[in-house]
Order: sequence, then structure tokens, then C-alpha cells
Amino acid sequence: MTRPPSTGHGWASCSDCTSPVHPDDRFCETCGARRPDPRDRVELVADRLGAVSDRGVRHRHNEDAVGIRSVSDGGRGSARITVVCDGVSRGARPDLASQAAVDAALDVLVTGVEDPDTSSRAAVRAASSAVVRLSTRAPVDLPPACTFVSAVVVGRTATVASVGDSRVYWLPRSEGGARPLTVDDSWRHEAVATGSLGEAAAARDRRRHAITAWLGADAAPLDPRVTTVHLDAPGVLVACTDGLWNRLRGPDDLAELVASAPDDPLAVARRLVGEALDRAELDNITAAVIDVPAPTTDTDLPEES
Amino acid sequence: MTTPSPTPAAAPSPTVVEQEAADRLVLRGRVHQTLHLARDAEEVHAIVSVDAEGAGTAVPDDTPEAAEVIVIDTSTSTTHPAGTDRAIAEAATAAVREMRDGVHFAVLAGTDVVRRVWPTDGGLVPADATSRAQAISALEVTKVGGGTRIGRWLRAAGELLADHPGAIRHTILLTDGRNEHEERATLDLAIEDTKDVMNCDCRGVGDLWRFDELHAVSSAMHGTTRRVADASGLAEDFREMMAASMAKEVPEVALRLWTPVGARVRLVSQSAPEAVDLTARRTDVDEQVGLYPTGAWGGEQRDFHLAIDVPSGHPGQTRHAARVDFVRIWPDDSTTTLDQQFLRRLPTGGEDGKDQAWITATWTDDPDIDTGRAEQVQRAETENRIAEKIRAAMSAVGRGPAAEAEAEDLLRVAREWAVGIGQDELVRQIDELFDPETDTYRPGGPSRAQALDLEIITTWRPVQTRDTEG
Repeated sequence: MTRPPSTGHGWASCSDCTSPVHPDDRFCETCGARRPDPRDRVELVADRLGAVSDRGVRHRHNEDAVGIRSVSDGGRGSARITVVCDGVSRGARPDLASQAAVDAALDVLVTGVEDPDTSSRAAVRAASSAVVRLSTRAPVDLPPACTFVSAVVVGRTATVASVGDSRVYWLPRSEGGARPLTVDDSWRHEAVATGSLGEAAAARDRRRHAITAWLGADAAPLDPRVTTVHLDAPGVLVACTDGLWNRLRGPDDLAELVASAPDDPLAVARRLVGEALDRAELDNITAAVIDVPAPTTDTDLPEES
Repeated sequence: MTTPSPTPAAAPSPTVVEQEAADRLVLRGRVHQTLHLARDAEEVHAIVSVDAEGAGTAVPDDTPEAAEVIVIDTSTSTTHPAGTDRAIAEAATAAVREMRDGVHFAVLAGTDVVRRVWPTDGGLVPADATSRAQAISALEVTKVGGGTRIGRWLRAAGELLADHPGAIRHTILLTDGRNEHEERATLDLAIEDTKDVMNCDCRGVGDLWRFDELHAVSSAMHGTTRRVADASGLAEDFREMMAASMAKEVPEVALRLWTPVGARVRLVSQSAPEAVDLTARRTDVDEQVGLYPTGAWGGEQRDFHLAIDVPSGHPGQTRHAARVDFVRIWPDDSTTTLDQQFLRRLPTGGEDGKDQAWITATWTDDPDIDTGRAEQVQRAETENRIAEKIRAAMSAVGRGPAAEAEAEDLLRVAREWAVGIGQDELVRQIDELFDPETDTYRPGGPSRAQALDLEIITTWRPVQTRDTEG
């Protein structure tokens, strides 16, 4: 945070009227403007990882949460981990729900990279418990809830877990082969899968954003979809909330944007989120990017024992 | 820190007892507002409803000092109808009987001049068995004769009460006639000079007094104006007024308002139960903070309506339009913050509690988001419009057929609105003089008494429904 020296130690300046603002104040004492919430725009970077989460224009708070971790385990090499959650706006404190889920899941995933399938399932359970605990603090009609998606890349193997309609895409650098690795727990997906509606009709239906599974006290018993895939080409893995995929038409569209961005995970995340904002997306938007280099890269080889 | 700046000075403590008295009142409030404004909109409205809980008689040894002056009309007019003068004296007697031990009191008789009924000279006297008996004896031999100069009565009461700074200071003023021996400007000046010294309840006996005169007194002094149909009901009414006054626990409370630089305060009013516009009564603390007097408080419920123009923001931006809390005003004009908490419903369904009422604005372009006024605000605004229509209609009583026809139309509209917001008692009272089938006055037209009653009821409004959740 920039703190103009003229305003004294620790004081910031109001983004609206430029008056000095005490660091503890949430609102400017001069013009009343709410100070930007640190979560309004989150940018994270780690080794071969980058993530951007943006409040967008419709919501008062950024109800999406994102976390990234880069860890090296003792034997098989290093792992890249991300968790992305989208708070359900109809519930209480969706911003707390998504953050609690991300924090709890990351704690589990960083300690279980030797068996990503097992640790991904454990991470979903931990995230679920963390969200349920929020609702026991303040009983309300609609308890806090959120979606969940995690991706763990170890070597050339990706393990993804999802609950709800947040997604992971695999976007290889070469043309073709871009595809989602997750399946939505959503009314739209189920309507199409069961053949009751065509894809175009489902996409226009007012229920298109309704999800059929989530984390929270009022959720159905957990049945996370966990998938492990082999990545045989250089590319990027993108974990995102519906704010991103609402406006970007399918994996090829995304792959094109990635190809046009600098070869850097944070730059790619910025490009994706920026494009969604440019296309007038109103919702919170989050994209986390894991860079998967060409197979020859040394760091993907097992460490010498 | 998010307290209104400047941070209130440390509590001055003239005596230990007074300092403790500040803690006798605990406020719980709620903010009713819609959180969003359309692009370029600047006007923010909110109702702040406050429930005050007093310590009551839980700590009888710690009751705050109280000072009470009773002013009774002894002008010549009180001999008509016969016995009115006696009933007035008996009502004062009932009030004296109700006086708690230790309350400093006096009884004054008002005509063109002010006569001391009890005590006959000196300042206020503490109530005890002896002083109450002496005051009651003095009331038995009250003489009648002379004019009506209410401004002088107020000044006399104010002079006696000025010697008791920091006490709960209250005057009961009773008259049966118009302020006919004094210019209105003289009365207004007397109100101005005494309004900071005391709270005052007014009672009009019969139907020859003027609502606007007594209401000017009571609204400036945080009290009520009521009509007493005949003198026989006075004793009970006086007992109730005394009890209400004795139940006050903090003598002077002000609404403290913080607004952003560049904001304009359109309205600060107590919207219920007694409607009082406080907008013009601001005392500046600084450019952004002002105090609005609300009189003495005990355990009670009140609602306040605020309307603030703030510089508009861009869509997605949130701004504090105002922050409100309540402070005790001490005799040296210093302030201490009362114990208070305000709840606000969040758009996500949760609630947050703060020691100030936060009134915010978030601008939006989204047509699906409600940017209108909160239901509670709309209700308060409707009540104001109803009161305007009724007062305009009643001021036309006795002014000829053209004015009456216009008045009937005003009443028709007022009645429609009152029905719309479920003000059943007001509708019932309108229907006593107005026939909704024909939209005309009932045969014979409204009597003076009916007109007074209708004007009075516009000053009283039910407080907003309290949310019992949580």
C-alpha cells in the first residue's frame, strides 16, 4: 500500500477524495467512501502459479476466494496446487464461506501430494466442515455455502476435484485438445445430460446458474467428482469460477486468450479476468493458472535419490 | 477509529451520582434503509429506530434529580363553563400528590401576570409530606381573574428551573383559551428562550384554545399537546404526565450526526411516537458533526427519519452517507456517549452490530436491485403528508364554503393514505367528522373540538414495528 509521507506514519490516502485515512478505518472520514477491500482484487503469484480474483461490479464484496501453493515433496518432485471457491450469494456471508473452504482445503492438500486422489477427497471434506462451522456461529435461514474446485499437478499428472459449477480447464499450448476436466453439478448440465433440454435452450433458461451441489450446512451428502488425468503436452491448467466461463465461450476461446498472453501464469490469469470484465461480466471473477511446461523440463523429473 | 470526529472528550463528572446516571440508559437500535442508489442519485433516506432501556426503580437510591413546575391557567375564561377553575386546581392537586419525595417543585398560576401558588417566594422546594400538603392547601384557595399570556408563564417556569442544571426539568402547562393577550412573536420568543431549560407537556381544556400555539410549545420542548374534553378527566391525565416525567432517567440526550464533507442534511426528525422536525435545531460540533436535541429519555421507543444528500458515486462504490449515535448533554454543554448498539441487516441475510447507526449508499446500474426507499421510510413520509393535509384542512374550518370544499378534498386524500398505511385509529377519527361515502363533512360540519382532536392525532404516530428476531 502506498502511504504518502505527508500524511504521517501509517496513514493512507482516500482513493476517492485523497484525504488522509487512518489505516484501521474502513470508510474515509472525510468523504465517507468505503475503502477498497483487499479482496476486491486479489493477485497471487508463486513458482509456475498465478491467480487473479476480481469483485466485478455487481457484488458489494468479492465472494470468490482463491489460494495457490507450490510445494516440493521428498521423492516424486514438486507439486502445484490451487483451490478456487465461489460463495453462494443467497446464503449468509458467502465471502467467509469461500475463504474458509479455500484455507481448509489448502492445508490438507499441501501435506498429501504423494496421493493427490486421497488428499483431494480429504480436502473437500475439510472445506465442507469449515463452511458448516460458520453457520453454527450465527444461525440464519440460509447458511453460508460455496462451490469448490481444486487442482493438484504433480509431474505431468493433474488431479482435480469439484463440487458445484466452478471448473478446471486444460489448455495445451498446441492447437486443439483444450477441454474442461470437471463436470458441473448444475441444473444446466443435468438438463442437457438427461436430454430434457438442448444445450442452447438450457443456456438460455433462467435456471442456468442453479447449482445442484455445494458445500454448506444445507448441502446434500458430499459426493465430490475427483478425476486424475495425464498431461502429455505443455500448456496451462485454469481453475475458475462461473464469472470467468459465463462470458468466454468454451475451451477454445480460453485457449486462444492464453496463447495471446505473455508466457507467465499471472499474466495469463490477468488476461483471462480482464477479458471477462471487458465483456461486461458483472459477477465476481476468479482464475488460477498452473503452468505445465514441456516434458523435458528438469524440475518435472524425479529428484535424484 | 470510526467514532464521529472529534472523539468526545472524556466524561466530565460534576458529581459521582451524575456520572453514574449516564449509564442508566442502554439504547438498542436498528437502521432501516435500502442499501442501493441508482447511478447519479444523491438522496439517502433511513429510519433509525431506538429502544431505550432505563434502570427504572432497580436502583432507587440513585434516581436522578428532578425539578417540576406546574402552571395552571387562572384567567377569567376558566369560570366558563362553571367549575372549570376548580377542576383545573384539582388536577394540579393530583399532580402534586404524585410528586416523588425529593423532587423540587413549584405551582404557578398564570393570567396577564404569573402568581406564585406554592411556594410563595424563593426557588423550588423539595417534595415531602409537609410541602405537598402546603401546596395542596394553597391550590384550594386559588383566585381567578385576568388574561392569558402563555409566553410569560413559560418564562416564569424557566426562571425557576434554571437553578437546577443537570436535573430532569419538566413543566406541565394547562390552559383553556387562546393566547389572546400576547403577540404570537412574544410567545415564540419565550419558547426560544426557555426551550433549552425544560421539557414541557401542554394540556388544553375545552375547545377554545389553539392547537398551533400549544403545539409550538410542546414540540420545541419534547413534550405532548393533548385536549382534555372536560375537566373531570384532568386529575388522571396529570397523574400520568407526572409519572412519565418521573420515569425519565437522562435529562438531555442529543442525536449526534456525522456526514461526509459536501453532504447536505435535508431532514432530521423524530418520526415517532411524537413527530418533531429537528432539522433546524442543529448545533454544529464541526463541519461534519452536529447535535440535534431530543429532550429527556427514560425507558421508551423512538424512531428518527434522516434524509441526506451526498455526492454521488460510481456504480459499485459504497459511501457512508451518515452515522448516528446518541449522546448525553451535560450542563456545561460537554457530551458523553451513551451505551448503545445498532443492528443492520446485510444484503446477504446476516446482521452486524455497531455502536453507531451506519447509513450507507451503494450505487448500482443493475435494474434488478431495489434502489427505492425502504418501506419504513415510505411510511414516515406518508405520515408527514397526511399531517400536512389534515392541518391544512382543519385551518379552513369556519372560513366559508369554498375553503370547506377544498378542505374536504384534502381530507379525502389524507384518509386514502391513512388507509394505505393501516393507520386505523387516524381513519376512525377522520370518519367521525368526514363521510367517506360522499367525500364530504358529516352534517353540521366539524366542531372545533373535532378539529382539535384531528390536529392532535397527526402529531402522534405509532413507532415502526420492532423486529423481534434474534
